[in-house]
Formats: sequence, C-alpha cells, structure tokens
Amino acid sequence: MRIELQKVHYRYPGAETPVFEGLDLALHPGITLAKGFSGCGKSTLLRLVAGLLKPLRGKITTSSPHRVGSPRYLRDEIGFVFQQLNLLPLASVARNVRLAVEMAGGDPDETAKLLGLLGLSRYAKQKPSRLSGGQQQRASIARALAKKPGILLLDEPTSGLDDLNTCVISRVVRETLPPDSICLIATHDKRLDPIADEILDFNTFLPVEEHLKTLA
Amino acid sequence: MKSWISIPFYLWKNTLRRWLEYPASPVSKAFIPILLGFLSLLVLGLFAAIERELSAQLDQSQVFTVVSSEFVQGDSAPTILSRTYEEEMLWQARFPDAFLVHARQPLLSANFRGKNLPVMAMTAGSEALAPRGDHEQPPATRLLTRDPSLCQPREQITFGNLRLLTEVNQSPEWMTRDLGTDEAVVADVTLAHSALQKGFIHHVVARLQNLNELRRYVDEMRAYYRAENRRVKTVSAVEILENLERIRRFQFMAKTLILISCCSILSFTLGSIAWLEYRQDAYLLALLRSFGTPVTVLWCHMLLENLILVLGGIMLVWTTWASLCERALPKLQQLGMQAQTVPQLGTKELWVLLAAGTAGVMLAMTPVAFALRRQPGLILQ
Repeated sequence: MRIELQKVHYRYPGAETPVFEGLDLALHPGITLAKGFSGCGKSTLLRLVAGLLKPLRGKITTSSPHRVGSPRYLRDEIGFVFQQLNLLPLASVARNVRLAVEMAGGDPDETAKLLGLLGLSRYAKQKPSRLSGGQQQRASIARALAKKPGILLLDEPTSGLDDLNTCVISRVVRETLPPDSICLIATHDKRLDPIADEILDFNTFLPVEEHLKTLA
Repeated sequence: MKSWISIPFYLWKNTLRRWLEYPASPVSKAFIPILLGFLSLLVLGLFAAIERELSAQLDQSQVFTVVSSEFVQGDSAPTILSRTYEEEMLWQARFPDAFLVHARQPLLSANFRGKNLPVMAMTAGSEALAPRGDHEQPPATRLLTRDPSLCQPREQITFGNLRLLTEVNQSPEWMTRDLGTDEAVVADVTLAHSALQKGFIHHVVARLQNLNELRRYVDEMRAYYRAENRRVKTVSAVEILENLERIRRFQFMAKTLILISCCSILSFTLGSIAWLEYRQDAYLLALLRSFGTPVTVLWCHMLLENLILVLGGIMLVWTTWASLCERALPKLQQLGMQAQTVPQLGTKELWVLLAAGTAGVMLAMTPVAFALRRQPGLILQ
C-alpha cells in the first residue's frame, strides 16, 4: 500500500486559518506515528487519508483501485479508530467487529481471534455500554483490524488508557497488522514510540508561533 | 449475515429503539396522515356524493333531451303554423344526427269513449304516424295509448265533426316521458289544419348526441326564437349537465388542492421531525458512512421509515373509512344533519392520497439528503 499527499490544502468550514497549506507527504507500509501539539492537524490528516474530509486543493493518491473516500475504499481499505464513540451502541461487541468484517468481505473467524488477542472474549456478547473506556477502545481496534485493512488509522488510541491497555493495544497492532499495510497513528503518547517505524513530527509543519496563534 | 442485510438490519434496530424511546415521533408521523387522509376523504366523498346525486337527476331527466313548447293563439296562428313546417326542416338540416319530433297540438281535443284526448298533428312521414315505415298507406290518424291491450285494434274517435276509425298503437317514449302524455291521437297535419289555424301548442322534442350538441341546439334555438320575438318554454338538462361538469372541475381542483395541501403539510411536519431525528442520529450515520455504507442506503432507510408510517396511516384511514362513517351517520342524523349514506370512493381517491403522502415524504427527506452529504470527518470525533 502507498499513500501520497501532494500540495494538500485544508481549512475547516468557518475557520480562519488553514490546517494544511500545500502539505506534501508520502506514507509507506509500517507504523507511522503522527505527533505534535493538540490542534496541529494530526486527526485532520487521518480524516483526509480516509477520505472523510476532502482537501480544498491538492491531491491524495493511493495504490488502492478505489477512489479515496468512496464507500468501497472505506469498506475495503480503511480501518479507522476514532477518539471516542466508535462502536454501534445497539450491537454486541462481537457483532460490531463482525459487521466490519462482513462489509469488507473478510473472514468472520477473525472476530473471535482478535477479540481473544485483545482480551475481550468474555465481553463478546456484551453491549458496548457495559464496557469500560479501555475495553471499548480495544473493541474498536479489534473491529478496525479484523477486516485486515490496507490502511489502519488510529486517532489517539491510548489517550486516557492505563499502561496495561496501552501495552495490549501496541502489541496487537504490531503483531496483526498485515505486512503491506500502512498504520498511521495520531498521538502524543510516548508509550507508543517503540512500535513506530517512522515518526512524523507535526510541530515541524507548523511553527510554534503559528500554533499559539491558532490556540488563541 | 451479509453486509447488505446487516446494515439495514442494524438501521431498523436503531429505528425501533428510537420509536420506543420517543413514541411521540412515530405516533405523530402516522397521526398527521391519518388526520389529513380522513379530512381529504371527507371532502372527496362529499364531491362524489354530489356527483352521484346530479347523475341520478340526469338519469331521470333524459340527459341530452330538450323539450320546447310554444303556445300560439289568435291571428298569428296561421303564420306561425306555416313557419313551424319550415322550422321542422331547418332544425333537421342543422342537426341531422338528432332525433327530432315536431308535434302541433290544436286547442280542440279528440274524443274517445267519452274522454278528451290531446291531438298531436304531425307532418307526413313522422314515425308516430307510420310506426312500421308505412308512409304511403292511410290511416292518417292513430290512437296512441300506454296499454294498447285495453283497446280494440281499431277504435272510433271523434275530432270536431269528423268520425274516424283509428289504429291503436303503443305510445312512444317521447310522448309519455318527454311530454308527459299517456294517451293521444296523432293525426296528419292536413286533417287538423283547420283546427290548427285557430291556435295550437307547438311541441318540439329533440334528442342530441352529446353535451356540445345539446348546448349548441339550445343556444341556437333560444337565439332563433328571440330573433323571431316568440316566447318558447324550454326544458333541458343543460344546467344539470353544466353543474355536473362544474362539479367535476371542482373535484379535479379539490383533488389537486388536497394533493398539494397534504403534500405541503406532510413535508413541513415530517421534514421537521425527520431533521430532528437526523440530528439525533447524525453521529451514528456518519460512523456508518465511515465504515463504507453508501449515503443512498442511509437515505433510503430514512425514506422507507417515513413512508411506512405515512402510507400506513393513509391505508388505515382508507380501510376503516366506511365503518367509521357508518358509525358516525346515526349520530349525525340525531344532530339533524342530512347524512343518508356513506360516501363511496373509488381507488382513484386512494391513489391521490398515496401520491400526496409519497410526495410529502420525499420533500420532507430532501433536507436530510443534503445533510447526509456532509463530510463525515466533520461530524466524527
């Protein structure tokens, strides 16, 4: 899998300052951490790569046969874990994971295997609301990984989690990520540094003064 | 379960949860079309009842028949009598497809078994004079009665100082129904000539082919007699037919108005509810989109959800309409209202309501369709 961002511009509707102005970036297979201040554009980058946001200018190209942001692209290539509220509240944990696998046309047996790896076998039939924050996050990661995505996007997957949960997540991501897949993790959690193949420092994209201006 | 089943399945599960959590939403979605449907059916039913009433009146009054009568007396009688022969040819030439009967009734009656019978003087060739097409042969008089079996095949009548042996025949329809005469003597105008000179009533019965012909005939006839300065009494179904047409036009307008009103009310009310529901489910819908669910699947689900409630409401009214009316009729009659029967409605009215409901739902879902196109990345955290 290969992703390339060429001269990407993005500004949120109603915002005065753009998040990206002519961003050029190439992502390669392996785990890449996107690090930087809050609001520097890490999550935006993930959404742009998934096609959940459309760049105002510039181009995002991938080696996928599907157009970035199209339903097929999202179904077959993308595994996305958002910061919060990732799971379908009315479906059990196992159903949440199986749904993503079915949509991608993957192997439903992966569900049980991943839930086991992430220590959620006992909770497979539980509704997400009965799980703790860490368990919910692990279930989200199970769902994203179960369909063997070409691009795995994790937005602050360990924020607010204890060391044990962080360790489990790091290990499972490292071990189960398909070899040709790209994993992009937006985080400022130093505990994830050991699993990274590459670290993108977003502070270099945006000078501190500019960043302080956006915060103001 | 395949994704094309599991996603709609999940969406329906979510919908049922929402309905259980906020029952006011589905109830109001169904109640509005029920109320609108009932009111619309009431209006359409009343129109249908009026139309049926007018149609019944038309059946009684011979739809395309015009009966005109002119009373002529005094010095003008000979002149007008000769004009009636010309007019007979004129109207037949102007309306060749029409059935026209010109009967001149002298003021002198014929006598049969002590009864005075009106005499209808007709020109030679009239069917009443020769019902079997036997125009060459006399007799030139006939006794026409509703029940010829009560008479001899030939009966003797007196007309002035003439004693005539006449053949008895069945009264034709134009005489019994249009002129309201059961028994009469028809005679050749030559026989009644001297009596006609003193005064007569000129009856013209015209049966036209359609409403346009009828309207043309009535217009031309009225204009002709107005120009001649003659007073002719005319009875026709033109007014009833025009009323019927007006009712049908009103009915069409009412149907259109009902369609537009139902559609607008539904689109505004359902649109507001659907928008609130979308706002409530926006995150979930964006999440499903991030899994690769096409926007059309989500929109179709919301459309279907609303269609089921709205069309279900309309169908409920449609199926219970007759029994509701039957129960309401005695109460209305107790209140002194002239409600006799349940207004009968055809499937056309049902289609009008279903079309209005569908259009209303489609319009209501338009803002949601636009909102669903919003980039999911702007909603998801």
